[in-house]
Amino acid sequence: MGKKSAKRLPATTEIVPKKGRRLKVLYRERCIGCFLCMYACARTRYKELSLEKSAIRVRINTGDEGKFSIRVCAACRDPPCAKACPEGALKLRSGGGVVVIEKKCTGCQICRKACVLDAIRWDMDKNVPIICIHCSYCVGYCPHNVLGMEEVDI
Amino acid sequence: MGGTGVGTYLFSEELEKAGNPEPLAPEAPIIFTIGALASLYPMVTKSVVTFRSPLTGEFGQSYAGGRFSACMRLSDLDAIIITGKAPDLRFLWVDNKNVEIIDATPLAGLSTYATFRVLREQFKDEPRKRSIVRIGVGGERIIPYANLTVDQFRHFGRLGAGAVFGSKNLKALMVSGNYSYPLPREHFKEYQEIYKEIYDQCMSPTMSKYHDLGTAINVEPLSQIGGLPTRNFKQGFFEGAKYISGAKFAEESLAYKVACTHCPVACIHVAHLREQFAAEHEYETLSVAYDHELIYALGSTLSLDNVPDILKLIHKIERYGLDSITTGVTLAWATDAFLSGLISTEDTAGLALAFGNTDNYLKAIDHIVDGTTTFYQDMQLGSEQVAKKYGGLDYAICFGGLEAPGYMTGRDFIVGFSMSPRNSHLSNAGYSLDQKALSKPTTPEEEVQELVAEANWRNILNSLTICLFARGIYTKDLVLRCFNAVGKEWTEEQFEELGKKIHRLKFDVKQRLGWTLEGLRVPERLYQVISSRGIVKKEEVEQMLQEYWEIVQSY
Repeated sequence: MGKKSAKRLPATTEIVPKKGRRLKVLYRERCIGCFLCMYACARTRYKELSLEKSAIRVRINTGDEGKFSIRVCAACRDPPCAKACPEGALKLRSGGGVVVIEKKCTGCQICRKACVLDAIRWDMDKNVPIICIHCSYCVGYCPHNVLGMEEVDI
Repeated sequence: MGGTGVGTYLFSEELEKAGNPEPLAPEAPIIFTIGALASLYPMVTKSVVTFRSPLTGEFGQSYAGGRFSACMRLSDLDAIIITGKAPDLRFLWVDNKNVEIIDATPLAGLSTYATFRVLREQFKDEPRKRSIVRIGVGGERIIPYANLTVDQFRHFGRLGAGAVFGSKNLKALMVSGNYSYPLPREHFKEYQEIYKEIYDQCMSPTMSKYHDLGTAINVEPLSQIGGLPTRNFKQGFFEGAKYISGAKFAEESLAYKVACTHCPVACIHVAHLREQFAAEHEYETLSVAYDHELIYALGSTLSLDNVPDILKLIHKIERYGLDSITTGVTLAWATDAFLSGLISTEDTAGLALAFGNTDNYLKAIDHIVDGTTTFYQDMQLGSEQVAKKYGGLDYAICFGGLEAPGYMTGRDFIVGFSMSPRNSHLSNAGYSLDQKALSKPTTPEEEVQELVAEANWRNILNSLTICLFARGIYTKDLVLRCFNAVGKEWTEEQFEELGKKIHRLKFDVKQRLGWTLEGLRVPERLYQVISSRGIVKKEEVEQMLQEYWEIVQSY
């Protein structure tokens, strides 16, 4: 498995893709529930103000005040979502996870159901999945270092 | 711009339409607004509620954080106006602008906490982000200082918005939605850069006091300069301050911090109160949020000098959904009145009210909510009204009928809260001017000018619903650039004009509801005790009030 690195990443204004890393929830218990990561994802990938069009999802645990659950794509080596896709619209990404080929997608949502993490969100406008590309942009906007990038073998 | 400006404007219109209805009349409006920049930049997180206050009978406005502002944006709403009265208890759900009114009679008598849990679980298949505003038993019983609790830990706290909900048989309001908005492409790069600049500033040492110990950091230094109200404003130095300081709360009880949606600072400090409730090591653990105002209103002014006791009081008041400041200050008045013989154990259902007696304060709060005796029913009306009946008005520490926040720093604090349209924080800075004047003396004239100018600018910040903890970040220049980056043009002169206009409008509304300068009452005790700036002179304050009013009238 990869190495845990809690090094703070600076906030940036654009995506700086780098291979060999995956997004990881390092310290779930430290989440303050600001949702800045979700806004960041939608802002940079879709140029939208949105909490819907975010590949990362933070939810409030009802009845457990101040605790949040965070779902991110695990960047699987052999992703169930890609295996389930009948159209071959999910291309394997080097270092794990997938890249969505939107023009091949028919919007059947089978990939969503195949992900036990429930880490795939849906773009209702284009009717395609929203899947994390492990770009690290959100990490720069996580004030409590909850999110981090983990090095993985390519 | 939204927020306080639009809220006041809509309120003024609605009042006129309905012929200035009484605060608890069915036709009285209660109006929620957010600002033009809401959700676009970090720390633009606030929302405003405007209503006629059942506590003061006058202009009522209150601010809250939490998720409410974000959820208003997600449901593509800038304002919600509620009027009328349901036949019995109802729950209002606004989802993407669809309004549903749901029977909430089974929720009668539920605490603010329980109501929140029930409503969240009720609609758990609905994946949208949502915000829940509700009342507890205090609001259901229409206690004039009942508040609205927002999500887990925030409130529209002051001036009795919860009683207005209660009078309308409205237990809760839930706002949810899933709108997305395209960001202007032509300015996108600029927008990204400004966003990052603000974020970096939020994370800089300037903001660390709000994140580190939170506003509770003020408690001890304020006592050291004689500005922490102690035992109902008898003195500004609290000998127990070091036991209830921000550092003490953090060491003894801080469990975690949480943030309002879209704020990286996370000023909400949540304590764990662990209590044994039975033998055999049976424990319960309660989560209680604290800040400077609560530590003052339920700590120093009641002479409580330990963390768990203050947390117990906060928790009880939270369950009922009352305004903590009004509750604490009213209890402090009652203690003074009891000690000076104005009320007896017959009035208090046998309780000997004494500064520092937590158990009796806990019982007294139950008695107030239950209205056990005539006296406790009168206590439901707040300190100004109860003192008018029993005496001791000189030490009912209210401005415009609203119990004072936690400062006794000098003349600017008195003038500021007297002339603040909502008689409280956020719209004025008197308490901070006093503290500045300690190191750099200023004249009363200069201070009035500064108070008015700051109030004008805060009208802009509060219209944009920028959290005032970020007021050091959001300079006029930055606000202009924030607008530019989303394709809107404003000028500094327009801010200036609008700030004045809103200031004037608030006083117009106040006058329509019976406000006069002559009617202002400054509690006599505040002229008899030593503030951070020494004894405050009555003539000086009266002169300053007059000058302030003249400036506002010139707008």
